Amino acid sequence: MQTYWLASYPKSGNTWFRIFLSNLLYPELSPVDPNQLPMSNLIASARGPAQEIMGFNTSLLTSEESACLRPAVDDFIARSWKRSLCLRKAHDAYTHLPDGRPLMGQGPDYKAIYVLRDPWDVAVSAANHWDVSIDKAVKSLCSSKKPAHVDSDITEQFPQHLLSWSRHALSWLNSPMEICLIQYENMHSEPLLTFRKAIRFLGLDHDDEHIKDAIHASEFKRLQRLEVDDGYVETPRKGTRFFRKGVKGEGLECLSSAQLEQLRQQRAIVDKAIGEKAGKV
Amino acid sequence: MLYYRYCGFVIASSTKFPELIEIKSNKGEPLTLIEEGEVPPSNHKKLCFGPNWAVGPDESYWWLNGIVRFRITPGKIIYQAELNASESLIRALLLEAPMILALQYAGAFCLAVSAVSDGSKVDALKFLAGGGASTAAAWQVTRGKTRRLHSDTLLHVSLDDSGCPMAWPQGSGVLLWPKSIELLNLKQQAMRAIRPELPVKRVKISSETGPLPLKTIYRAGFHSRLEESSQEDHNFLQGRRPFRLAALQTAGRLWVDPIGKTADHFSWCLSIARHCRIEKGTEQNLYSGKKDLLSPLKN
Repeated sequence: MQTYWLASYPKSGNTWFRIFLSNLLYPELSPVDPNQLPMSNLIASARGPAQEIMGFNTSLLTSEESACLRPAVDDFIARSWKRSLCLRKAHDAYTHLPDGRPLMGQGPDYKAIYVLRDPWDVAVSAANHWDVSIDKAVKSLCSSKKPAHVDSDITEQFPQHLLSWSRHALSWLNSPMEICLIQYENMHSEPLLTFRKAIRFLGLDHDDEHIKDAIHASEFKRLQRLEVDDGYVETPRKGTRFFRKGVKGEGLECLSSAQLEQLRQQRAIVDKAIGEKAGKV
Repeated sequence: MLYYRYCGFVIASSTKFPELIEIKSNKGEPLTLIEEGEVPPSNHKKLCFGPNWAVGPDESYWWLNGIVRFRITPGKIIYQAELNASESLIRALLLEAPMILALQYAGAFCLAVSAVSDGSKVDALKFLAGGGASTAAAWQVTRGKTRRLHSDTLLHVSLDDSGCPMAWPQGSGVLLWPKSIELLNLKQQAMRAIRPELPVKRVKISSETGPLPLKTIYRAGFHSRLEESSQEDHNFLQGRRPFRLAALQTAGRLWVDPIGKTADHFSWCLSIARHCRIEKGTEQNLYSGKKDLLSPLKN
């Protein structure tokens, strides 16, 4: 089974896209409950499925040793996948293991939709999600340093290496697999065009009416309302929201000029690479 | 030969297992013999292959490249370790997948859960992997004061004469990370390192010694935030929940069919579904509603 990664830096519209896709693939359940998505929610870095598949407690290994096991687990998941579409969420950058193998596989077995969101808006949203200051979030987005992971605790996910915002994007755009780039801002401004491009990449042939219905059922305001009324499993903390604003340009208003300048540089690096790729095509 | 009890079974080994309690003899009980030796390549056609295992009705292999290879046959585990592999890591690994396979050959199944007992019944805790079920179990034993540890990672559940599930003590303590050890004030407890590279410790706390009925399985996301996350596929646990929970949380569930124990496993899941309740973990039922005691864990 072909694996499609739905790759993005955190807080870039990954969840929103999966809600849209659930509404498209399961119209009988539309509008879907975000807490009970009928399509898989299996993130690439989830520890539980890896433990289940390999049959042991991975807390016995260092994080580097665990990372080396992930490609084989992903291959096994693809081989055993029973549903029609193997689309899996991923926040990891496209990196390589110490032995040179890519962590996230390569074409033709793996393809990826990469969701890109303006870094200034990511910074505001991530600050809320990570419970850090905006300044700290901006620093994270601009830092390419692979965090020196200390195996001092264990969490439900394997450590994810994000790199900087620009290197995250470039790592995927330059990866040896077929990539469909979509921009979060276009998911707002040109939803039909953007979502249609993505689902065609996934090999789906739904017509425009069905796509429009799924977009309508995935409206951000509805998701916000549901989170307030029923809660959402990924709401970061009490008193906060996962589906916070879902707007574009918020960062332009609330970031300092110094913060914005750093992120504009990040954006420029990616825009240049995208331009060069488009030029080559 | 040294004898140890693990998950209700007896291990016979010339290798010392300081993680387990040594017993005098096997008293005619089912025995798993553990030996160091050569493990040949696992290229038999009858085997079903996974990423780090090959399983079949007569023999199975489980390995971690660069660390160790195991060959498991009914009643016997042979291991071949790499020269630089830590002995305690090999023992820790042996007590997981290879023992699960050895138990399955003997028709015994385990739930991948932590569990505590109150002297008359067992409650199992199933959190997300890495979500802190071990910490929650240790909290119930050391802070709640009224419980004893029954299992940390593997809860062997057998069926008694009337078909009721009986849970066997795992007998290997609880694996805890420094933060949990500190928050639970367990620094004075007897504990052993698993390997020099990692600070995770196997801690000995008050533990049950005999089998007791399994009554409840509590599900939660994390010890500090009990709601389940949607990062994993738990959404399908809707209809026929107890049966599916038992089936999906069976340790080594992917090996049941290739080993040839499908029918036995079905009956086992059915018995758990009939006799055990599945409950959502809450601060009340997991931490006696003592938020003040729970709060240090929320860091």
